[in-house]
Amino acid sequence: MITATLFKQSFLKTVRKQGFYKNMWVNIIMVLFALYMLVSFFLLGLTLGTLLSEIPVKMDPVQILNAGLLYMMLLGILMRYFVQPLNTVDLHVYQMLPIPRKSLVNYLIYRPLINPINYFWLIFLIPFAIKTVTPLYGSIAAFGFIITGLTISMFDLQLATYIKRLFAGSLLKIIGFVVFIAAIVALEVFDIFSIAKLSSAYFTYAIQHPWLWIVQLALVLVPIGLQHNYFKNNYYIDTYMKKDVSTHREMRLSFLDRFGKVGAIITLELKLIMRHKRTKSLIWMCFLYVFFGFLFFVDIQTDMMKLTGAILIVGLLMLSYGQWVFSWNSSHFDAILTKNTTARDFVLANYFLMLAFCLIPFVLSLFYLFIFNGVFKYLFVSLLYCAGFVIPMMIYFATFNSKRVDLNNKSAMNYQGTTMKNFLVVIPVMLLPMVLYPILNIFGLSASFFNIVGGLGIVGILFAPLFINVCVKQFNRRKYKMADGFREIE
Amino acid sequence: MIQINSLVKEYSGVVVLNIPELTISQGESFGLVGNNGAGKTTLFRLILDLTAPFTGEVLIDGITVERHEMWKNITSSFLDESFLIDFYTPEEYFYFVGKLYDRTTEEIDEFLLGMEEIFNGEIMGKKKLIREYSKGNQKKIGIASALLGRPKILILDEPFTALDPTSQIRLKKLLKEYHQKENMTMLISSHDLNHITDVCNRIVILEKGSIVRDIEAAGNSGELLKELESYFNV
Repeated sequence: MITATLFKQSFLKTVRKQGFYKNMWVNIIMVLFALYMLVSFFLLGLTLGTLLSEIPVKMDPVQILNAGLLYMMLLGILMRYFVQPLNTVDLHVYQMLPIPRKSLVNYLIYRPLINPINYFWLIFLIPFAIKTVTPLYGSIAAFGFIITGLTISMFDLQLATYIKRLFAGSLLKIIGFVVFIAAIVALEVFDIFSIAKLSSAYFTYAIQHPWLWIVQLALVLVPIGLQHNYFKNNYYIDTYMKKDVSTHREMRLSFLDRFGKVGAIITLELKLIMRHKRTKSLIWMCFLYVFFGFLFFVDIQTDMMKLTGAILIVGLLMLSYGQWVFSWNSSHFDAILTKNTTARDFVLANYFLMLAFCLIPFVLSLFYLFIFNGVFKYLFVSLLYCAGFVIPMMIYFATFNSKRVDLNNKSAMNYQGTTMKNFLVVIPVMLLPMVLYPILNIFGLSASFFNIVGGLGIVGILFAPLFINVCVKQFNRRKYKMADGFREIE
Repeated sequence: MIQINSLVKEYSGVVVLNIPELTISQGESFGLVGNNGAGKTTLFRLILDLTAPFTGEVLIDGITVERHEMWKNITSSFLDESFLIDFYTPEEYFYFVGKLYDRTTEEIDEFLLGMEEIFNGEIMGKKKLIREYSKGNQKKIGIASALLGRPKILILDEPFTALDPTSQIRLKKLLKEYHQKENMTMLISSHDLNHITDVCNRIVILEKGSIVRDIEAAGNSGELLKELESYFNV
């Protein structure tokens, strides 16, 4: 069973990877976070039935949830497309061994199916099936509901990988794909054709009819077959990986020329972001963060939760870049330190870039103004808070990250450079409003909550030159440690 | 021009460099030789403020380099690949560096034309990122970018290694030219005794972090080479 050996070796590769044990704390926190997610999804599954039955429509909770299933499917494809790395093998290692090509292809196609992370949402679907579907439709339908959930995961997964292989990173095709999905959503929004109604009617019917379960499962074979076909036509499996060596050349950002050395460094950082997978996926993720609004801005949320949501939307991109704001430059840090530019230019360039990284999601999320009432207040206060308070904090604390980040490491789940310090900084910064609110409440000051959080931001913006000076001093103090750390190749 | 006073560098209790006093004057071509681990790169890093000294200081034009930035105006250097920006094309990199040294686009283009002999048609217009070039070509890019800064002080760590013989000879010629034309102070380290004596008039031998010889022989590279060979021939 050569395919089985490949499975085993990929497991060993993970466990024996350098740094797997070194980053113990990171791993522990990740596990805790995963557990937290598991528990909250499980609890959501238990309680969602009751929550949905309170919505004043003529549908029962199962029909309402089913209405969302097709959308979940689309979202699943999108998420997987952008976030999940393609399953690959180190072909050159295996190519010279006497392994049938078929085993390699099978491994590539079926390996993701056994990854439990892909069935994450069953944690939420199973309690919902037991608690809500069973009393309304009987236990067979509940079983059908779970099977359907499972089938959707498998279908999504296979289709997303197929599309990803087919598109091979071509930006134009990706945009076309996103536009296609947006068009489907638009049909719904403008009442032309309701996918939700279709979804609700179909799935409610399907979960009660076992023959449809089989048809659905059989449909999973379609993307699998397409992938087999793809590999038949593309003999060299690694053409996908090779392609990204010679793309995106000449990039002109001449408008930044006007800003002298600071502009040159901003250009440097922008090119750095656009020419590396890890940083590029940060930008893509930002577009997903914007949709947090649908979770946080709905009427049932409290003021505090709405503000926390808005801070996440406006701040996450800046945070995920800002945490390692200096570490991104690991591979050319000596150049930054010795070429004719000052620490001040470097800090300033990153400050402006992070400012832009707050403004972009802020502008992108302005469409919520048309959907939810009074959202502007939350978004604007978040912008002030992130721009004024969080950015200087991030720059200051980023100087403590002296672990090398090697951007040429291709994997998408590349956590290099992640240390305990990252969590220590990000959590308090993001959760400060959540902590502040109850405290203000005790003193009966909850009405001035917004003024205080926004005021913090305004003070930060007014005193920005001062904070930048502090950051420059800190950078100069820490630069030797950083330079030494960035030179250490793992 | 460069003044070093009681400079000591320690790594976890071990002294890796100890230079009580060293002066390098304007226009000098200063060669640094020594076996592996002698402290050559450490000395260069200390001069470039890339690492903090344990005690002592390096002065450039009378101002300590530590936590100061004035010296950057007149100093250019290439020690290793971390001085390059590996995701830039050479063109982008040269314009970036040129911008930092306040050179106009025309000046940069003219400079690059002058570099063609060294580049040998392998660098420009290839539409490749620097990380996709061979080690030797990366070195050429790094050295050229250092010269682009029109420096008063040029610091190069082992510029001849990884270069092909033709490029080594051309580089020597280029360095001598720049040295004479601009009255540039050059600090070069090398393992190649032939090349270093050819380019430099003053040679300092480092051993285990200390200066053991400081030989000056203006214009008599044969003599220099003999002395060095006798020192290392043990």
